[in-house]
Amino acid sequence: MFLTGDIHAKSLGLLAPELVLVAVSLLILVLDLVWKERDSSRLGWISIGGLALTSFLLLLAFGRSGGPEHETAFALVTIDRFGIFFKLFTCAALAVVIFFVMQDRRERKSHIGEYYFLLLGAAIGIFFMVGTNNLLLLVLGLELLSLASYSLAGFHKAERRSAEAAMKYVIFGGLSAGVMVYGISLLYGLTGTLDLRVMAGVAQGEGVTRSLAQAITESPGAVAIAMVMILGGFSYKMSVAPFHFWAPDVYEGAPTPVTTFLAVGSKAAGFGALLRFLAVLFQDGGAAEAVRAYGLQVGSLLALLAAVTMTIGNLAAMRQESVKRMLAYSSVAHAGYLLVGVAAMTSEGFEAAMFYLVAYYLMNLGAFGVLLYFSGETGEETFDSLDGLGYKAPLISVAMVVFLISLTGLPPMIGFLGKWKLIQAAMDPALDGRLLWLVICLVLNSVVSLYYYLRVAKHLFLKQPAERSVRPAPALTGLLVVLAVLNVLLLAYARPLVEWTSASFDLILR
Amino acid sequence: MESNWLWLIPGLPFMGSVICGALHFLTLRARERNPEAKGPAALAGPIAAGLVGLAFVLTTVAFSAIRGEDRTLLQSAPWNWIPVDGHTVAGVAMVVDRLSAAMGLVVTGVGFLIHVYATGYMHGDRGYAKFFAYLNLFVAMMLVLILSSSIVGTFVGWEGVGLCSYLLIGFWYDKQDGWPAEAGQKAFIMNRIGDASFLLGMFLLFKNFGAFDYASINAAAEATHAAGASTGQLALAAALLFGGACGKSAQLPLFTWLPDAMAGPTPVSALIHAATMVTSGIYLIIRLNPLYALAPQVMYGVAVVGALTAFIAGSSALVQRDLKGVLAYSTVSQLGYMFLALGSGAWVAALFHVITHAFFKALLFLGAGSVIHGMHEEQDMHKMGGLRRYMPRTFITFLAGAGALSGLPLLSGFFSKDEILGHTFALGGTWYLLWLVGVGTAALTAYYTWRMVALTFFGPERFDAKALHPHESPAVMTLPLVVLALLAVAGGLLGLPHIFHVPHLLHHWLEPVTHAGDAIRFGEHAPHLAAGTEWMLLGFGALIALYFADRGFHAHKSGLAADEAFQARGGALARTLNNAWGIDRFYTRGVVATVKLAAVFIAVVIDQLGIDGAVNALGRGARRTGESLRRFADGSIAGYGLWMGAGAAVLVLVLTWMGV
Repeated sequence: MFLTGDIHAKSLGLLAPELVLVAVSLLILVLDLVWKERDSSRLGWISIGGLALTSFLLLLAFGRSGGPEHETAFALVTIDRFGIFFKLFTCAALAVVIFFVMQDRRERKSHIGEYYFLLLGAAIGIFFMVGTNNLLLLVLGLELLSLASYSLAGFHKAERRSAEAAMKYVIFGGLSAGVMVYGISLLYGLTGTLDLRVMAGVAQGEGVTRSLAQAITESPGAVAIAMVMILGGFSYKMSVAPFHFWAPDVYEGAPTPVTTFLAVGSKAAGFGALLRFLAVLFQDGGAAEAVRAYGLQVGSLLALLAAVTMTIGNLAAMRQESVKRMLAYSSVAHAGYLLVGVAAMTSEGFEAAMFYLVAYYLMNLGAFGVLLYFSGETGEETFDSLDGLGYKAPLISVAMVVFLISLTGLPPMIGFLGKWKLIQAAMDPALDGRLLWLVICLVLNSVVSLYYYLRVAKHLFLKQPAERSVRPAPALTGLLVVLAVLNVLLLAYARPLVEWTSASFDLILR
Repeated sequence: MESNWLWLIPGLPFMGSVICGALHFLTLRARERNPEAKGPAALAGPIAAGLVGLAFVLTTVAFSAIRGEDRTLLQSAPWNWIPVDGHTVAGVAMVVDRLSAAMGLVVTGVGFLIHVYATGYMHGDRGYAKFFAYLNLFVAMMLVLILSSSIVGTFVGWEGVGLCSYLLIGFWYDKQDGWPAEAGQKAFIMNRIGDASFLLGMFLLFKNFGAFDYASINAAAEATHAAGASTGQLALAAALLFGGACGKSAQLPLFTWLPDAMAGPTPVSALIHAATMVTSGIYLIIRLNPLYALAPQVMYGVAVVGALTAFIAGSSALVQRDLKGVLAYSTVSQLGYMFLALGSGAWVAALFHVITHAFFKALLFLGAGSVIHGMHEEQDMHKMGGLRRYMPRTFITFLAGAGALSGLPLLSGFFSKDEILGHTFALGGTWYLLWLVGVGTAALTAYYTWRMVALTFFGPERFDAKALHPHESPAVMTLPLVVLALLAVAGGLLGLPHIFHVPHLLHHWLEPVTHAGDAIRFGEHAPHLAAGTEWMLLGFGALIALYFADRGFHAHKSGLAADEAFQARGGALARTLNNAWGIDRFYTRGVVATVKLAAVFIAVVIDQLGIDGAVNALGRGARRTGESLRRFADGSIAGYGLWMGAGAAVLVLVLTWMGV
């Protein structure tokens, strides 16, 4: 591939957000060495500042893009609104996670610079993962994210739980990545290309041996195996059954801010990559009819996964003694809900899933933040440790109730609108009621989830007030209250958000 | 031109309500520290009364602005409450037109007097500030009801006054074995039944006309009439709205809450349950007069309901021992007259009676309150007697009110009642029957009114004067009485019969509001009485009033003998009258008991056994599955890997199977 100097410069310009992120992460590493401070929040604020700058550049890019033709950097990184949506999402999630690290009272704050460095590194991985139509770069981004995540999960290496979590994560991560790469290699072998648009037949490319449509008719078995293996890789990132086994153990063992990142940032990245993979490969108006039909089959498969995932997640969450583990299973269940929108295999469904991710961000960050606070105070994560604390920390506990109700999907919280849009997408007349059973499954699962979510509220408010007192945390409380207010407010004024997510889905020709 | 200051008219009392509420909480806080502390509660009375007074002044200003012929209404900018696709569907503006100005003056004027009175009456009550918060909120809501440009706004006020009524009836919820609390609930539930009917009527109107605001509804009704289109659904809507009016204005079959509403403090009975809130049903029908005029059959129903209510309640008032009980049944009965007037198309006569009734009934209630206050919370007339010596000012003013209520010649009630009966008579046919019921009720009214006066103020003292020390009330309480007494005496000037050859002020005033309804109902030829007939009816009414007033007074002025004799002889009749013809008991035993039975059935069999049972069984199942799933996650990596592999294999099979 020949690139002239001009194209180099242009590509580098397009990659400015990524470059800023790299620069900030390196700066953090250097400053950590120079300052040698153990308990400074300066590094955290610098990270957040870097994320803010990145977000600003992303917003500029968002404004520039939006047409049917997307610019690409080095012919690999696609600059489209869809990718920018997920990059912004990542920045927003990461800023809160870094704030959580600063507020974490159980964090001993050694090697704190590396903590931030790894988080920012994970973000860079996500950026490439969600921003490319090339399967090779996708795998590289995913691996970068995974490597950073492994280290983060085991960040408290002296703690047995943390170390075990990291170990399990590495093993499953390796396994899943291997499976996924194998699936990709099968696809490459069948078609001769790694570019999704070329594969789908909507763009010209070099070295194509066979179109995907041809491959599907000629060797359906190989394509099926490849698809399942690739979906397995995504499922692992999204903690979708049966690739979710690692999640509860790792979520529980990892430091709470890291758990938050895995549950929100990493999962959203998985969804971003999956949505792009499915949309570009199967949904483009220019794709062959056989390919689009095959996409509907994959959708049915995902519907099955969605039902199994949400049911397993919810039922297992019911009997947990640890709030953190409950939230881990809850996040598995939410991956199932999100798949409902994906399984519809329509633009509306994908937009609904993206909207749900925003809602999920607002409610899950909040719930983990509250957990962070209480576990920092009590040193425990069990339901019983929360007994009566609602009266000691009323503001934060009321915020928690808001998050829980939002997670359940009841009005007047944004979680309700999120589920509403998923159901709306699944009940699209074009689908002919094929997903009705899945909608019923989703609604029943929501009922089940009410049980274990409200258990937290019960322990906070309906148990005898605790003897112990808790220290106030004004900054954290402030952030959580803002999140809680947003949960309500964005239901009342949802339109801009809905329109923004809708405008962000620009992957395909409709 | 838009007059946005009109929002201030309900806004001021609303502000007062908020302030008084705050004062109440401050007082509670002060009491937390020192149970005897007074706190700032005492400020509430003057603030509340002052703000209602200001609202009265503003209403007067608005009133004088629409006196001329060129301008008959003021309107504020609308508040676009419920926009649908950018259109204003339920915009609410404040409107002062001829009708709402008249009602507004009554509400704020009488309301102001009652507020002043209440500062004395409620003195020393633990909930002094709270009382004024509710009372001010009531006035604000009542003004919203009256001034709203759309039926939606009226409904907001309608519900608001219902709420305040509930709060104020149950104000002393912890006294008298919980009677006030139960009475409040009764009022609320009865009103809810009416409100459901109101809502249905409102939406039916919207379905037909696509609008909520009165101007459009009335214009559409006129257009319907002009086009000669079918009025079936509109008649149903009118009937449903009348159902709402039956609840709020205590008509058959929903009137039973009003006698119990007397559990509230007396100023509340005077303001809400006599002068203002209970007349909102009448207001609503006058406001929608073109709609009702379209449906003569509904109007006939209104008249029948009104006449029957008037008679049943009037006869029940004959035997009550509770001073406020007499007044309560009397109020129901007088409201019946107003509906009789509406039914016969006499919109102006109905409003006329609303106004005079507001004067004399508020006066009577406040007088009764003064008596009760002076007698240290005694309400039983059998334990009173001879009070004219102890409470001269209350006595004199009470006489004025009683005279007006019983329709003694030249007092306000005489003219308004006569106008209603005259209109009914003029319609002829079966209306003669309703007229007869009306005249009979007038006789009953005169009798029970003067029985009440005799038992309370004349005859031997049936209490221990030395122990009880009955006393006259303070000036803040008697001054409003005097003002109201003057109004009750002179209120008739608003609508003198045309045979007197003076202009009927109210008729002229309301012309812009009622001409549409008159045109639809009667066309060019409104029924008209010959001057001779009218003189005769007037004289006949005067004779009836005088004769039965005299009978009532003389039978009871010497003591309880007449009452006791009637109880002894009357037997079943006495019991029936005492219980308002057994309607209340029928509700308690028939309706309430059945509903409770059904509720128990649903609660125990359907809910606990059926639904709960099923849910609990499912829950147990889910928990057991959860338990086994939890054991599944044992942390073993080999186990996890196995499941992942197996799962992937199944997925491949499914995908290939789907392709086949």
